[in-house]
Amino acid sequence: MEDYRTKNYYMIETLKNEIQKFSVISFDIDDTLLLYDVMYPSDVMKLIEDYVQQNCNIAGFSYIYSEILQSMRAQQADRKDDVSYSELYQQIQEKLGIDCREIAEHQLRQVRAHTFANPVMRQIYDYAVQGKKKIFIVADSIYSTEFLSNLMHEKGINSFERIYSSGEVGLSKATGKLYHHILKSEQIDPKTWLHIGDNRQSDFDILRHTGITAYFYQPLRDRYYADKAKNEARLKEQGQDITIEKPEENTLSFSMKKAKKINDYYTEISYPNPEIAVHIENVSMMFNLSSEKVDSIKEYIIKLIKRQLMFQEFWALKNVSFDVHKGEKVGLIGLNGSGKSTMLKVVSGVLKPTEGSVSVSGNIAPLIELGAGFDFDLTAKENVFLNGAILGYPKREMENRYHDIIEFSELQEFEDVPIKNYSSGMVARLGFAIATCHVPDILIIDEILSVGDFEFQKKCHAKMRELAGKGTTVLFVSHSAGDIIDMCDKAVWLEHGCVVDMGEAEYIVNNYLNQ
Amino acid sequence: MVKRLKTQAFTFFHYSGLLRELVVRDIKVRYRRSFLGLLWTVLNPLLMMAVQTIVFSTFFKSSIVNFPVYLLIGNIVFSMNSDSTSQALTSIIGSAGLIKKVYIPKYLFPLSKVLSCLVNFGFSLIALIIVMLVTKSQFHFEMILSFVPLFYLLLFSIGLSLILSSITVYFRDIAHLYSVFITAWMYLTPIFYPMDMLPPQIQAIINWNPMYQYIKYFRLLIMDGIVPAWRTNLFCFGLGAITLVIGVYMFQELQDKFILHI
Repeated sequence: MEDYRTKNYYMIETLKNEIQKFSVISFDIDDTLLLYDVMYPSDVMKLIEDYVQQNCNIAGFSYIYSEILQSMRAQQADRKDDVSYSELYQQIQEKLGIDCREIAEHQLRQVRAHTFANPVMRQIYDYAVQGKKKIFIVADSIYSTEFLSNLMHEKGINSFERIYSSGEVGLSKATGKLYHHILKSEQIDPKTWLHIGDNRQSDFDILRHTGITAYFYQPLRDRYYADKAKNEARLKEQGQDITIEKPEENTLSFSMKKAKKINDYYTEISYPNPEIAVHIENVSMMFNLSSEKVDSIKEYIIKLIKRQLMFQEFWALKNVSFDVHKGEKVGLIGLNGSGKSTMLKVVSGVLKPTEGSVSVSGNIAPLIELGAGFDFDLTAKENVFLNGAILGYPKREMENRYHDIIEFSELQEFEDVPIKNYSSGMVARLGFAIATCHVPDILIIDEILSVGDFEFQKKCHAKMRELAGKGTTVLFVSHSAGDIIDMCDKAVWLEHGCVVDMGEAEYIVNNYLNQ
Repeated sequence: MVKRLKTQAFTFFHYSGLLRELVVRDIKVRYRRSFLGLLWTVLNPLLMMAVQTIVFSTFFKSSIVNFPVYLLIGNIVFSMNSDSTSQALTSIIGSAGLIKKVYIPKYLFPLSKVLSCLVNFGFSLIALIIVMLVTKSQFHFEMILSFVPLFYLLLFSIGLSLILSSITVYFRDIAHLYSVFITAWMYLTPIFYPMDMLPPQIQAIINWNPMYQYIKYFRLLIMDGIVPAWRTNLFCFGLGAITLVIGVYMFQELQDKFILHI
């Protein structure tokens, strides 16, 4: 996916869909339900530091604060993971020998002032509330449940069942103990629980073997840096200079300005084109798996008389329905024999579904097998026009693109050689170049990227990304989870011809890999 | 119905480029690597005619005026149909690789075979004109009307090609059977012998042979300068049209299941 911003729509759709399947929904707080108006939550500590400097004349408070917090955490009794806010300030008070109640109060005030409800997550939260789900708020936080509860109410987040704070319970998400504690005390079946959080380790990885389903909500600033890194890589490739953003004098106001920019940009929801490119409705595909293929008259008559013309039915697809919007990139994942390739063939019109219907608007370029229409007696030049015609590309366009095709496939010296004398790599290169020379409305790709050498594969990837960037609708089958996450917005997970799940590519692919 | 026809026409138009490429490919591949290349399309019927004239003219010389032209017309018209149908027969099976991978209207394959034979037929006409010049035969103005029986023949050949190519997908035996059938058909068509040497009962049967009717039509136009009566026209056209309708219907019904059998 080119731009992390477009994730929001898919995320909301996916989570709404997922929420219906679960009865318990839990949310993380920082960077998930609530966003900070500064770049990092630790920036708030700078404000406290200034406050302590002014009022108590003690410098470096934030350093002292984290030093004490870390040492307290390290000294925790065996069964405790985290420190509570009051314990922490008690300790600070002993160390500094001053009354810290004001400072503690000030810190809470600052947290309240610098956080706001995440509008995107808010939609999901409200959806869960509407669905009358049991909602928990589970946070690795030193603050008390009471404070967090008030904070939530203040930001308009109500109707949750309970808040679990690691500081108060003494168990944290990072060790996984907090989840076990909740499972036990609330009597929840882990299969009915969906957790949404932004920490890859404590909100996602740790849940892998607990039976709890996790949704990883990438922090907005991470999205910003990922986009930035991609952008810089692209600029570098083009040989342009990269300008480094310089902080202004007042670092806090700079942090706030930047945070606002990121928060605004990455909470924007961009909807896909409402026009539907491929509409698949209740498609089922049946094959007859006869033990022997009957294709002679004698056999047919004998079997007819003996009443052996019985077939074993095999359903390659069962009641598959989904829509692909214009410009969407949809990946199909599943094990071998799950019906992915059959699905692509049904969409491209090669197979007619036994039941159901497929309607497609726009022309389709199938990259199902490269060079499927080559005549090996003809030269590369003749094959370019033949294959172009097979793919339904206009002849004039093929004439215009001819040089690009030969150049892309690196066959300049061999254009008048019959392709039966080519190596298989050369044939594949030519096939790929022809299929991608035209910008089709819908591009169907079935694991063809494993052709050619490493250099050519890189070229193919770049070319496909270029096509995808031009607003082409893409249907993509691959066994590489990375490719799907990288290229697609949405994924459809097939198993034995049925749709197991569909939604945001990353979430579906992760579930598929963790099954 | 109208909408369906409209989309059909649109797809046909969209793929007309492919149809042309397929026809061109057929012709190119057939003569690739041969020294004389495309010249063979003219030479082939000429040489065939020469051999057959030497062999048969001694038998039938007395009864047929201008035997070489008589023979050549019979030959090229008959082989237009027999070549196109026997090539179309395996066209679907032969394109299995493509049909399994890309969506293409499947009728393009048999149709392209018929059309490439039509191109061949065109070249054979050059041979015919050469023979007519050499034998100093009379050129009739009515010869120009040859496109009329050609049109009827085309309907017939396309119809038969559609029927054969679709059944062959299910029963491969047809391919072997058909070559025998074609030979029998050729002998039952007065190509190198005159119709009136046959006993009247057989003549009555052969009168129903479509190929005899088409050949007769061509011969009347080219050799005698006679435009056949409306009854012959109706018969020739009706036969072509009925075959085409049956062919289109059968192909339509069977084509969705092709992929499961190829």
